[in-house]
Amino acid sequence: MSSARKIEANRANARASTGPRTAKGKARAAQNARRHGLNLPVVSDPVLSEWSKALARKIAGVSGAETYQLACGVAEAEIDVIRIRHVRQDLFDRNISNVACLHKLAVIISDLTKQLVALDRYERRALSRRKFAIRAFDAARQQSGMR
Amino acid sequence: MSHMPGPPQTFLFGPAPILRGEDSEAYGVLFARISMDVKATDIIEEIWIKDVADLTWEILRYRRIKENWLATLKSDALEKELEHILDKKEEEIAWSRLSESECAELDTEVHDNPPVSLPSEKKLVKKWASGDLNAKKRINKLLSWDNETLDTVEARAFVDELANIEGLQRLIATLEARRDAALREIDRHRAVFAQLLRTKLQDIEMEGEFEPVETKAIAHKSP
Repeated sequence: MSSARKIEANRANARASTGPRTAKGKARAAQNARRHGLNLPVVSDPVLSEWSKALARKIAGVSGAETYQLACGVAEAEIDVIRIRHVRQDLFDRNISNVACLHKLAVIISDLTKQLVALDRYERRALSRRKFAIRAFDAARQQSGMR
Repeated sequence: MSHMPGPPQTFLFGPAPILRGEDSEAYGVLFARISMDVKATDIIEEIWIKDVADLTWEILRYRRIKENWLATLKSDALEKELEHILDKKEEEIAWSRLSESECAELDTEVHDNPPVSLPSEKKLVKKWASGDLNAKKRINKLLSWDNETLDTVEARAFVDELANIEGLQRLIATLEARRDAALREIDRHRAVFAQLLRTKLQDIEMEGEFEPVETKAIAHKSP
């Protein structure tokens, strides 16, 4: 059992430690609870945001501002789909050294089921968002074409 | 020769779903085949084509895994069962259950193939898996001594792994449903595209902007 002096010293040390002090340390600690970041919107990440804008420009083509806004919705949902698939592939890459051993792969997949199901939920939502965004984009294009 | 489209730019569509050890060229060929058949009319269709190619790649992968897994399960279960039977045989537990003629038959079998020289279960199962009729006959005989058949051994193995098999099957079904959904969306999108095209053509005809070019008779001068 620890002595009273030891306990007191531990408590004093713990009080002195109040987390990271440097900007780098704080930035790192801010990511402690982050697992995959799939809940964060695409626009919150500068790289993804640029990617999304480039894709939106390609989707919208030469159409007007309203259609471009709808194309942004399609692009953001598509980037989400890609992000989720990327995380899933990372998960496989971390756990599988080679796919040649198929029965081992089956066991690994069954071990990863919980995480795969969670990712699948994200993917289902992103795909649904993308589907409706495309439908809205198509409807707008159809309307502007009919005007 | 027609131009085979390669996999899409990673920049716009994300990486191909290739795992370590998988053949990236085979994915490229699959993508090219789908892409050539569907012929995307715009970037949205390109997104779906990438989806369809990726999903097909994954479906094929999981189907391969499932087939291989089921075969392995069957072999493993059979191997275990044979090991068990041969152990029993060595201990001569089976003797008490056998009729006189069966005793004689087993005696001959053991005499011809004493336990020490019996092919290991692994070898026997390997031969059976490759379709060796003698191995099959021998396995059936060994199994029947323990009141078992290939079917019961297989069924037991599947029941033990049912949850995992079901999980894999569900995964395949989900991917297939997603691929069907992508194909349906391409159909719907193309209907919109066709409608748009029809309206544009009607507008052009109504506006009369493009007059048909009248062909004038060319007077041929005689030389």
